[in-house]
Amino acid sequence: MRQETLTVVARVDDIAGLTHSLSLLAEDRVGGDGPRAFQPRLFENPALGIHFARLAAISSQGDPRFSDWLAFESNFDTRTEDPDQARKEHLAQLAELARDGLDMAFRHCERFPSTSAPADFAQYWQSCLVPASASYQGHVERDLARIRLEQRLREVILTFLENVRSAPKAELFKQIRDHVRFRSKSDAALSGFDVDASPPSMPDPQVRSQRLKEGYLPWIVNIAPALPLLGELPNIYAWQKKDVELDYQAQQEAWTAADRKRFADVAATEDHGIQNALTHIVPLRDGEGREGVLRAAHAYIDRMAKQFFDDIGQLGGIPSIHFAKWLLLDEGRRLMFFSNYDSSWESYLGDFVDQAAIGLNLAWSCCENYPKTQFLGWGGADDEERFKAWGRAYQQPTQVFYSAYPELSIAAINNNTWIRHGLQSRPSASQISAWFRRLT
Amino acid sequence: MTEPLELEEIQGLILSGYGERPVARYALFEIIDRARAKLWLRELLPELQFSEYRRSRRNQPPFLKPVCVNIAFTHAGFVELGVPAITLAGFSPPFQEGMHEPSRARRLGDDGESSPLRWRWGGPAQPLHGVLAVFAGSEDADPEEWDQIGRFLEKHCTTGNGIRTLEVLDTMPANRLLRKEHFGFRDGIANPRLSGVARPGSSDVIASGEVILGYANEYAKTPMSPHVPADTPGGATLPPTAERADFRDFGRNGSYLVFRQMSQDVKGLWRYLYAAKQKLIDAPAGAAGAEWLGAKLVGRWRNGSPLTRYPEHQGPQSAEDDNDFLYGKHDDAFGSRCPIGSHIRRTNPRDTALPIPHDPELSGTPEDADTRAARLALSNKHRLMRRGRSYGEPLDPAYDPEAMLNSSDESERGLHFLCFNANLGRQFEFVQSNWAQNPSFAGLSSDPDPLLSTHRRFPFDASDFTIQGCPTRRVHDVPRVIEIRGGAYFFMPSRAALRFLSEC
Repeated sequence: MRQETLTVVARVDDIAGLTHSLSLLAEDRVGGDGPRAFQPRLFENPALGIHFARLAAISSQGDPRFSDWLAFESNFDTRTEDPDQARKEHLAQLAELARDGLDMAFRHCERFPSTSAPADFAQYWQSCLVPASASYQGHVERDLARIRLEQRLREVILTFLENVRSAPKAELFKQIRDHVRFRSKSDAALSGFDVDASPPSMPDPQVRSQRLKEGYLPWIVNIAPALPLLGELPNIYAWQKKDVELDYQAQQEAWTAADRKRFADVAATEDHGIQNALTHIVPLRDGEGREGVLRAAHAYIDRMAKQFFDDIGQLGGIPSIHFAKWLLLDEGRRLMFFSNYDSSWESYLGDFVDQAAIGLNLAWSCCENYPKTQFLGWGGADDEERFKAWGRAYQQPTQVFYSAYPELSIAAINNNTWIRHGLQSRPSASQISAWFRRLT
Repeated sequence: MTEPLELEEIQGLILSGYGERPVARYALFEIIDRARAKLWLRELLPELQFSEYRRSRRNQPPFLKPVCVNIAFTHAGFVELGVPAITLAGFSPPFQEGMHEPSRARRLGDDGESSPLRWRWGGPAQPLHGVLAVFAGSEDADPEEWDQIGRFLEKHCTTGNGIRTLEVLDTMPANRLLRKEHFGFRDGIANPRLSGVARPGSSDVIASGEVILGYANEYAKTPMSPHVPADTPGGATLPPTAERADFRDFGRNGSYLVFRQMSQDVKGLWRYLYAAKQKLIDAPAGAAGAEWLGAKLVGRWRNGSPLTRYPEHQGPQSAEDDNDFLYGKHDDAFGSRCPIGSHIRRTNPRDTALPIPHDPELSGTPEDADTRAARLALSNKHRLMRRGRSYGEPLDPAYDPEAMLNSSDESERGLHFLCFNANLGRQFEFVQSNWAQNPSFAGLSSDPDPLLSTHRRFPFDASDFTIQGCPTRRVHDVPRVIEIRGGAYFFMPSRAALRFLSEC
């Protein structure tokens, strides 16, 4: 089972009404005591296979060049290979299983059908799909059931170890396998798991190991999508001289009450689980050629994601992203970025600066007020405080944010997978030592 | 080349915990008359302790004053003093919003009994404008020294000076030999040194700009700082800014002060340690088992010796702090000595590979010195200059666990946690929310900081503690042993900025 992503973006004719409806949807929570208590109920139905979803009102912020939008994102399980067909099927499912909630949101949008026929809803959403200019996924080839199974396996093993006497590792490993074999018969959460079967072929630890050893090679092998940038060199060179550095101090001093309210609204939606949603939208800088350069840079990032980053669970060194995507709005004049990430905003933006300044500059250097870069890649995000100020300034609240596993970090999901792989393989002595270290 | 610090300008508490002054009180105040308060500030200025004494040779002036006084203000305090609006808007956003802001309280884990709505001071309804921190005494505290502070506060904190005292927070006289916090562990060990004052060859040095505004930070950038229009009355005395000719720098040589009053449930912790060790299959028998589990939770033995150096038994009591160690470098990359989730490791991970220490394929092997240096550099972007002191009487003068458990004393005790940093979001709040509060810190799953953050509502109620080793063991339901009773963000201005405040 693989994962696919879709983004529906519909023009809004009543943003105040939309914001109100979204707040109602956000408040209708799963409830109970567990880690999922604060998740919105809307996307909870397991049949939908949703990992992360969001609904966000994207404001024009009074700029007449732009529209108000409703953005709906879903990252979902599918068995369908063809991406377009997978999205079509997912929209049809949503129209069946989540129609009432989505209807509350989309009724504030232009041309939204007034019928109650699911097919009409699905067709409407289909017409509003916007392709991502680049996208990334931090844990490929694991559906919700597998993520839960592997989470449970780790828990069963650690609980078992609480009551077992110390012994040589090989002996302990055997005891663990015996215990899991025994528990699989009675533990519903492990049903169907056969410790003696081979582990799934994907994701493949060997592919990951190989990728991690490749260093800079993938950046060269996958460079084809970036080649159009060569033709843009005169433009890029001209921007070097023309683009001025924003006075971030002055920008902060000029914050209005509306700005402050937006920051507070953003903060109110954050830190309810260990994951957060980033909804970021920024106009492109003025000047001919920016969109072309941005699209080529994004095509390069997208290729790198599919050929390299997805396999290792890091986007350019950032280990904390579950699903992320960029897409263009308003006839290519605004860039939107969605990320579903672990830990706090401060930590995430810090990772950007500490780990991925070059990739980040490639993604955003064509955007308004971004800290000034040299030749698209250098400078820019290496100025931590000013980069974060820029990031916050263009963020909008994610009114409805759903995670199927708000207690699981990328690190945990991937680690659980490697624990399972080790358990079902026959590791060597040194591999057993490394495997035990993963039981943390 | 590291820029030397302008010591005459920097208030003393930022660079020193005043270990020589064992008696301390903090007076929280409200400004009730702007004009009088400004006059008072002018009179107070010569009495404040700045840092130039650090430059003098032994036995030569200037000396540390017998009574060391420092002052800091909240954002509301600067509003009351009539600081220009453009300057007020230039402070760090967390400082402007305050520690009690609801989203921030969620992120910091201040819920339930620790909710800002229940704080004794610093809550949203209180007009808290500033704090006077007063330190006195020499070797050991005697009542005369308390009186010295008392007289100082009586003289200064008067309505005639335009201020009203909201609360006076006492501390426990610092015992320089024991230096224990109430749970019984040696405290205040791992403060970094600032590059602007560190002696050559010092270890654990961070850039001055991590704590003091106006200097380069770990990113080799100067922190953002509130500016004052140059034509503001009194503005001429402030230093220039690097980028803007028509502005002056209010923040230079100042620092953000985090102040949190934490009550500690000492018996609750030790009761838990005695009970939980019974279930741990290979914990030492008897009281030693509780001590061992306590050391695992903290990351140090009670006398301060680090588990990374002394994994089996408490190390020797040393006069010097035993702090010159790294995890990866000293064979503890994976937590088999000092658990990954222990209090000292998660509040300063040093060269721990984050976010996944146990995955060398992804994060590099701990044997590689460059990898370790890179990780250490990352951790050093989240350091705090701690200045905490305990309050309340110890449950037992020797901090013996069994004696503390058997004590009938039910009075409150805890820690006045104070720390300085230049970037509240990247330093204090990051450490509290991403490292202490985060149940998935460093590849863990349901383990928040065992002292600071168990059983918080957000991100979800978690209370496990994992002891790495072979095999890995866990304990469950670690109790909530710290509650926040008050708190605020302050800014401790430079001498020039204080002069400006008295004139603007």
